[in-house]
Amino acid sequence: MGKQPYRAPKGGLVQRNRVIRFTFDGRSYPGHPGDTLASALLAHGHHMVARSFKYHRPRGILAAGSEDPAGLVTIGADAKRRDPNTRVAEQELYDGLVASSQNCWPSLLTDFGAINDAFARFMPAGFYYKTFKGPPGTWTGLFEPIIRAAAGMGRAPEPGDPDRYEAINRHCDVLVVGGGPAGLMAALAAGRSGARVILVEETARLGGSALARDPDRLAFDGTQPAQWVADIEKELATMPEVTVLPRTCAFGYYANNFVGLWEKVSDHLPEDKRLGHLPRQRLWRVRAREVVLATGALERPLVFHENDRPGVMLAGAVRTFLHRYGVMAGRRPAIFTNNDSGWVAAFDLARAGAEIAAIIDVRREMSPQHLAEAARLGIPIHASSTVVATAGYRRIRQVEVRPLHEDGTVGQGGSKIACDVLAVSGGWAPNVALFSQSRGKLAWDGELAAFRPGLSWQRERSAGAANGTFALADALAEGARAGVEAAAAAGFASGDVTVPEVEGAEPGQGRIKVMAELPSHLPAHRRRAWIDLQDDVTAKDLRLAVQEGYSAVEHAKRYTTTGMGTDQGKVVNLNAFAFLAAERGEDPVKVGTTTFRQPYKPVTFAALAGQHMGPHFLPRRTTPMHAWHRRHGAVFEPVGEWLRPRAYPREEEDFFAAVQREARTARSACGVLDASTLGKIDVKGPNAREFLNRVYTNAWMKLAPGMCRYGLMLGEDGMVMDDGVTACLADDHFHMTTTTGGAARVLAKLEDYLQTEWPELKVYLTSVTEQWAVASICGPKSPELVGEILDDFDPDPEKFPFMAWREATMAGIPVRVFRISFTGETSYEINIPATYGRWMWRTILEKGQKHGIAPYGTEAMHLLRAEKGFIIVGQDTDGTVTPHDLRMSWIVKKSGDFIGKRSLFRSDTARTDRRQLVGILTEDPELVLEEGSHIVARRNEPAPPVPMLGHVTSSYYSPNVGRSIALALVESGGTRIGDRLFATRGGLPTVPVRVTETDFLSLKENRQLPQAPREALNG
Amino acid sequence: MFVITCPYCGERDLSEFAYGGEAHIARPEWREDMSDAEWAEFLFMRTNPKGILAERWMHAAGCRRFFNMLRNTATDDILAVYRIGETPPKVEARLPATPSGEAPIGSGNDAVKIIQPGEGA
Amino acid sequence: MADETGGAPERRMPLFRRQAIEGAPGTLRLEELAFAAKFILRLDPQAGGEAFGAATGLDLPPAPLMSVVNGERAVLWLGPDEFLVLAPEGEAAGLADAVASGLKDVHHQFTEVSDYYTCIAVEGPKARKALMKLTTLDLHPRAFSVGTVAGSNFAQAQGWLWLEHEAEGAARFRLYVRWSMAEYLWGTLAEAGREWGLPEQEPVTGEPMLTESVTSRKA
Repeated sequence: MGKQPYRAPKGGLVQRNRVIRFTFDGRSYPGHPGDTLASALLAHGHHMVARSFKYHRPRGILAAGSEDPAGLVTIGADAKRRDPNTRVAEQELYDGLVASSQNCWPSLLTDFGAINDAFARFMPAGFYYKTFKGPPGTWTGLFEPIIRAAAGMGRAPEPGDPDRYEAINRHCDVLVVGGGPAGLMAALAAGRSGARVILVEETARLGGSALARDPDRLAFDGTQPAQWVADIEKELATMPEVTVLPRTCAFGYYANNFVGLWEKVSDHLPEDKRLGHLPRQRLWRVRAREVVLATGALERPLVFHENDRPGVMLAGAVRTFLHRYGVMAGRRPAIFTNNDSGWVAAFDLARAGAEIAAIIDVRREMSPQHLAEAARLGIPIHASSTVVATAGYRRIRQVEVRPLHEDGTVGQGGSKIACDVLAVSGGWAPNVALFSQSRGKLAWDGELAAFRPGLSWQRERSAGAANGTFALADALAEGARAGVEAAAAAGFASGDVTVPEVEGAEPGQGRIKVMAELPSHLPAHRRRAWIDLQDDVTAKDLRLAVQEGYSAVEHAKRYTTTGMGTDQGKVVNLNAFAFLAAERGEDPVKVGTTTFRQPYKPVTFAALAGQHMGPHFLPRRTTPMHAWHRRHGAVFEPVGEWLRPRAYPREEEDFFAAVQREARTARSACGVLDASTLGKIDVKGPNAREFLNRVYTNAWMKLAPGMCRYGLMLGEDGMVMDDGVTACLADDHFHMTTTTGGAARVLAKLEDYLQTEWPELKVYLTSVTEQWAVASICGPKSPELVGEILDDFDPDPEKFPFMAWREATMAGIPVRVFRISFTGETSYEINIPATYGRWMWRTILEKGQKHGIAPYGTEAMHLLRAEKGFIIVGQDTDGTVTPHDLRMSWIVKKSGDFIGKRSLFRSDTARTDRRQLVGILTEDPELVLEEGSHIVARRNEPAPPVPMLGHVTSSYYSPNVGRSIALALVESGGTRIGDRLFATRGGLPTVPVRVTETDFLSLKENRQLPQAPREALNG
Repeated sequence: MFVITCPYCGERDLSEFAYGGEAHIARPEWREDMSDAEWAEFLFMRTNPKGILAERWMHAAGCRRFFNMLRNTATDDILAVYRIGETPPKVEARLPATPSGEAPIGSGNDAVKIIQPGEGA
Repeated sequence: MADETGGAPERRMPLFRRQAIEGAPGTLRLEELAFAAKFILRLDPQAGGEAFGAATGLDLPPAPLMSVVNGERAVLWLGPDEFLVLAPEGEAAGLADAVASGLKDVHHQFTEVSDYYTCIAVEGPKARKALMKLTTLDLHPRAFSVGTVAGSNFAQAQGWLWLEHEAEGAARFRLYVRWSMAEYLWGTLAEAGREWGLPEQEPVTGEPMLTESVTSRKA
């Protein structure tokens, strides 16, 4: 393929016979199915794909998987679908894929932000925090706007994502994370036992490290790696209890073996080919009995001057690109290593036709076999040497190599070597992220110079390279054993698993020589050796952090931001820890690690939200009458999960006018409220009365069947928690109502007392909230209307008195009618089985027409009750209000216990200067206070802090009182009736108000409404 | 999201349960002469240990029964589940007392995440 | 409007607007079941199980999470002293009378909830998988066998799930939910079934909302 100059002549698992096209920064390129965006770009010799976060330095592709810190791009042409900060090494190529570089302007090659690089010395570690310490105003006025504008990577998608996402819960016996050799063996072993197994693999295909090897030089029982993997995959597919999830990342390991998996269902498909019935991404919430972590190992880069150029790649990644994707990262690669794995990468490249510029090894002693092979292949060797500088902008073109002395200094001389890629290896480290998330304790392995799993906390085991077992044969055996043991621990005797014979196993990385920062001929302050390639943290920054006292690992991380990028420092953190250890002159085990946190890699919000979006975001509870409310122009308000009509504005009527009209109609003719949402609890048992006596503040022993009573319920702290009317159905049987929002809370509380505190009480509770649809009819015309709609029913308020209830029928349907009122008007609350609710409502409205009926919403309901001075729990109370504070001492019985009683005698609750509920009337009758307005003693208070006497809890314009009304909690309010106080109005001057009793209708009736003084009216 | 074994319904996800605070705190019955201190002991005082705590839970989405549970608050290990009215069984917290081996009091911020020299692995 | 006439009593189920929906053949089907009598029985089985059996011909489930079916009547375990009793609509009054007289000397509570809860049948070979998208219950056949009843959260709604029947890999679940949650769950279940071709269900939404306080006329 002439158009892909770096495509190896053969090899790789891409479909070479098919060409697909993709676009990067507006330019179209060919690639093959099976490529990642990284491999396809590398096939064109395209290394520079991004700019770094802080200095806008050119960034290439460091790694071949999700651990890559540098190669981040934005995928997608559609602004609503675009996916920023996607790792090029992870994005599968598809026909028509559109990718663009980010963090650069106007373009990747000409980026004005790169000016930051020139000013790098003004942006040392912690510079951001130092801007906080400038003169007043410099942060908000100067630094914040600049830093905010410069910060951030990529651009979030626009709202309106057209794709679907979903979450699914799954239980399994064995979850195997990682589809490499160890994970495959574990899944096979566990699967053969009959256990429920889930195998997750982050990439598109199983195989892991087996696919990063030369297929002609590795065999499992004589089979080539890809075929061996395919055979296992085929066997797993025949097992009904085994689920294999490719393209799925186990991103979070939580308590009790709860593991979050993120499956990219269709991100690898062209946008127009995505299957509409499948979600774009799926979140699996897995609860596993046992977990096998076969997450492999990650290679570290080396820390040396100018190590951040595009074209500096991990040696293992270079091998992966070659063998898995058939791409030569360079034609003239140089190798820079501190262990043996750099060497095998060099040999693979040489065999594939590359001209190896040099192998530079910091070590003095090297494997004789490798030396011999290098000599056979004619590769120049620089032993005990280091790279001291590099050159190249869009791609590395030269390295400068000098001898490395035993004392850690560099010698004179050396050479400049031309190359087009630099493959580096700092040694391999087990990928312990999930293990550490599971709260397992890590062990320091001096030989690997890395952490490996030490002490498990959950029911989990690590296997293979993730456990520090790098030799392939050992990893396979360990994987098989882990699978058998995990299945056994989950209760499944395992089948036989034979570990395949491996031909062509590699000896591993050999002895590794770790140097925290490789020396250079340049003085330390001029060296720029990158530790974190994404966040632009250099060795110098970490050194500064230590000097400034941020030497603890968690402090250094936050001060320098090392490892805080979207990659969470997967491949770079160990270098940072090693550097800190060296700077502090301490053992790495003492320095420790930062915390490995979920998620392992960035997970989209959409996947986390799953199907709970749009109309499925929250339940919207509606009553049987809801459709009628909608059709009749109701505007709604949420009350907990319920949607309740707030008012029914007519044409050319605004909300305020509608509420005024509804409230007037309810007192002058007839109003009806949908009260179905009120909580209802059926209370039954020989001790039901005694129970009510204990849960309400008032007495219940004498309530006769057929009668109702209002009750206040307190918490044990003496504060009002809920209220409602309870009807006596029979001597041992009651129908309790609660507030709409309090229904579930009250039932749980009552069950609590019955089950745990008073098990001797024989009482059963059952919620009947939605068994009944409820219409509350009130107003002077209501008796007449109720008489018409019920069968043979005498609604005469004299014979069917206030606070009584009756059974009746409505067109033959049994109903319960309660003579209870929240408005002070003659009222009838009709309860009918919910399936008839719609019909009942329509009937009431139709037959009420001639009586001038109007439905009223919650706003008019609030207004009507406030006119009468009735409280709303949660509006006029806030969890700090006792019945005495409400000046409702009449409802608190003297004898006997009830919930919260003792608290009413605490020194604090017994104070006489507590805030108490009173009426508040503005001297200007047209002025309506804001709810929440403060009540103060003087018109013009002195400088703050101003003593607050209280606040307004409810405030309305009342059409029936003919002026504004308000309720307020005011210090010693009960003793201030008639006093003149002042109310605040935001920033406006305070206004004079009068303290009154709360029943405004009675005040009006008795001509006790205060007259407005002249001053208020005039001025 | 840990798993709780409801004594009636078996293993269920935490999301089905409601927390009910510390267990075995009996409500004193009303007496004229009950001191503020005695009432405060019931109303406010809780042991709040970093370690094993007897606590009440309710299987809110399931059988709606309250039950008691012994939980290690430092590790979220659930050591026993028993019905209301039963005495708490004798249990021992597994060692190390906390997954990261941090101090017996205080927060876990200074948690040691790696095995220290001399510590068995 | 036509529906303004009160007329004869007319009954509406919470999902009366929704027709049964089905995915690709042999996958998944959703349907709101016809009205049936439902009662919640609160009773200590030790104290009154036998009397209840004598009165209704129904045994109480012998162990948690189980159900007992007798013809068209069934008892579902909800808690150690709480059961859901199901019967055909016409038997409601008779059943209530029988329990009242049969258990008159035993502390119990028998509360009609026929209108409180509705039942969505979720059936087909994909029923288990569809429900897994809504609940943390382990619905694998090894963990949830025929006859099992479990209360749990389904998406954000509490409900009781009963595996009534299963043959040849096709499960028939009944999901008992509150009236006011039925529409939400219907939509969520339909969404869970999209994978198998269940048609998208137009959500009931778009009500005009007003949440801020209004104390005077619009300026």
